[in-house]
This record gives sequence, structure tokens and C-alpha cells, in this order.
Amino acid sequence: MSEEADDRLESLVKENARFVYRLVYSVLRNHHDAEDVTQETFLRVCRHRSQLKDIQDLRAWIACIAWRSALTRRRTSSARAVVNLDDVRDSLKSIQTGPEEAAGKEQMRSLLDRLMQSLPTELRDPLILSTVQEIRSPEIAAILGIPEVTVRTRMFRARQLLKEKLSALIGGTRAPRK
Amino acid sequence: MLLENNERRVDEILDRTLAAYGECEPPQNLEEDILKLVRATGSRRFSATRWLPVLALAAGVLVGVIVIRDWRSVPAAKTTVGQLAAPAPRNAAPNVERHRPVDKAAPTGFQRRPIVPKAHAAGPQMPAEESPISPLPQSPLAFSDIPSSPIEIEALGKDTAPLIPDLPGDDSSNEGGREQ
Repeated sequence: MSEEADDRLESLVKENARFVYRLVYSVLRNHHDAEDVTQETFLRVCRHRSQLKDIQDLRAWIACIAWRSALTRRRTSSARAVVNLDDVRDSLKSIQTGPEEAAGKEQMRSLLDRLMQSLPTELRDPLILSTVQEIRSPEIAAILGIPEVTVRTRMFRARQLLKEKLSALIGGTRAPRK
Repeated sequence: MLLENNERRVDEILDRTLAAYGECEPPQNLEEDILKLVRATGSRRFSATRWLPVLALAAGVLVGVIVIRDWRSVPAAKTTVGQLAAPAPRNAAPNVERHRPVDKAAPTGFQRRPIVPKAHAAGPQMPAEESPISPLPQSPLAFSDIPSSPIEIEALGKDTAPLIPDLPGDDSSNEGGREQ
């Protein structure tokens, strides 16, 4: 292993480790799994360290590896239960205060997590990636392998769907779509 | 108005929630842990590649030693003509001529010796004996209706009418036939 490749790899880890961790965590929602997959991602990068100089966008390349590793881990880990919106509504109603006041970080985060699980995969993936602060639409397009316009359209549709569901929950009516 | 307010409120909640959704604090020593792991993997790989030629060299030396030992332990067999076993007698047929290779590319000035046929090369002399196979028995009636004497042949035409009528003036042939 050459000294130059070592230095390059070290700088890559220092620059992108936290970004990869956040990306992976947005998929897995579990710190332990996120740490494992982050390390696995950089091990894969290490295997291809001799080709690093040929890759144009290293950040997008690493993000792509991290995304795929996270999806694989999510698939192999215990299957998540199918979320029913009625269950979400019940849990929301069990909160003593109103939805806005009770929208504490953790509660709303778990609520959104369950709402996102109910979205179709093609809409959920761009929305999940967009929640990671460092990622912009072009990078999401590169990771998912779809055009940037499609990314924006899907994000808009996902957001609309979430709004419908959330307003239905707040209004106390049944969700129009599941 | 109420509907618009509600929608705006939902928008705000969604924005806040989505912003909070991506927030997470990675562990403090994340980079160090990853670098340790990567270095450990790299050093393992490096040591394996370093020991590979040494292992190959050791294997080569081992094979060489085994080959030399085997070569020394087995003495070279010296065979003399006297040790050779006598060839087994041939049971060739006496009347079969041996194949003589034809020397097509004979050098110039070389005279081919004429091949003299040997006495036993003429072929097997079969004794004149009667064939053990008896001739087929012939029935006495098999060819009895075929005329064999000239008289009988001439008599055949008497009973049959001629196909071509006799020409007028030509009496010689008919008369000859009638005379008999």
C-alpha cells in the first residue's frame, strides 16, 4: 500500500465519516447499526483505495456505497412491522396535550418515522435522503440513479402525501390514503 | 380561512419534523474507530502479501529436497545383455509370408536383390481328396420333358400350327416338313 493512498484514505475518512453516519442513520434509525454500516462502508472504500484517484465525485461515490450498505442492513435486520395509520392516530390521540404542543422532538420524530414507513419506497427514499443536511438534490439523484427532476418530483409528492396524512391526524379524520 | 390556517400549521409542523428527523449526533470517536479498523485490515493484508513469496520459496525448496532424495535413493539400473531374458518362441504359421518392407527411397547405385519365392510361399498344397460335400440329389423327373435328341426336337413342330401361313409358290419348306 502506498503512502499516498494511505493519506488519501485517512483524509476521506475524516471528511466524510460523519456525513456517512448521518446518511446511514436516516435509513436505519439505530445508532448501533449506523456505526456498523459506517465502518463497513469505509472498509469497502479501503478495498478500492487504488482506484480512488480515478473517481471524480468521491463524496457521491461514498454516499452511494453507504446507501446500498444501509439498505442491505435494513433488509437483513428484523423486518419492520407494516405501519397502519390507524395505529399512528391512536398513539397520537393518547398524548394528553394537543398535537402541536405535544410535538416534542422525540414524539414527532417517531410519529414522522411511522408516517414515512407508510409511504411507497420510491417516494420515501428521496425524502429520507433529503432530511440529511449535507445532501442536495444532485447528490440524491446520483445515489438513487435517477434524474434530478425525478428526485424533486418525488420529494414533492412525498411531502404532499405526508401533509395529507398529518392533517388527517390533526383534524381527527381518517386518512384519505394509506 | 380556517382551512388555510390548518394547512399552514401542518406545513410548519412537517418542516420542523423533517428537519429534526435528519438530526443525529455521531459518536465522538467515530473517525478514530474507522481508521483503526481500516489500518488493521490494511496491515493484515500487507503482512499476507509480504509472506506470500517467502511461502512460495519454502514450498519450492521442499519440493526440491523431496525430488533430490528420491533420485538418490533409487540406484540407476545397469542392464547387460546377459541379464536379458530370452525372447519367447514365435508361433507363426509356416505358410504365411512375412511382410517385407519396401524401401522406396533406395539410394542411387543400389541394386535391389530379386526376391526369390520360397518353397513354402507358393501356398498351401491341398491334397486331392473327394469333397466331403455330396452333390444335390436330382430328381429323375426334373428335366424329363426337355427334349435332348434332334429327332425329338423336330417332332415338336408337327403338332403346332405355323404362325405365318405358307406363301404361295414356296413349297419346299413345307414339303420337306411333311415328308418327315
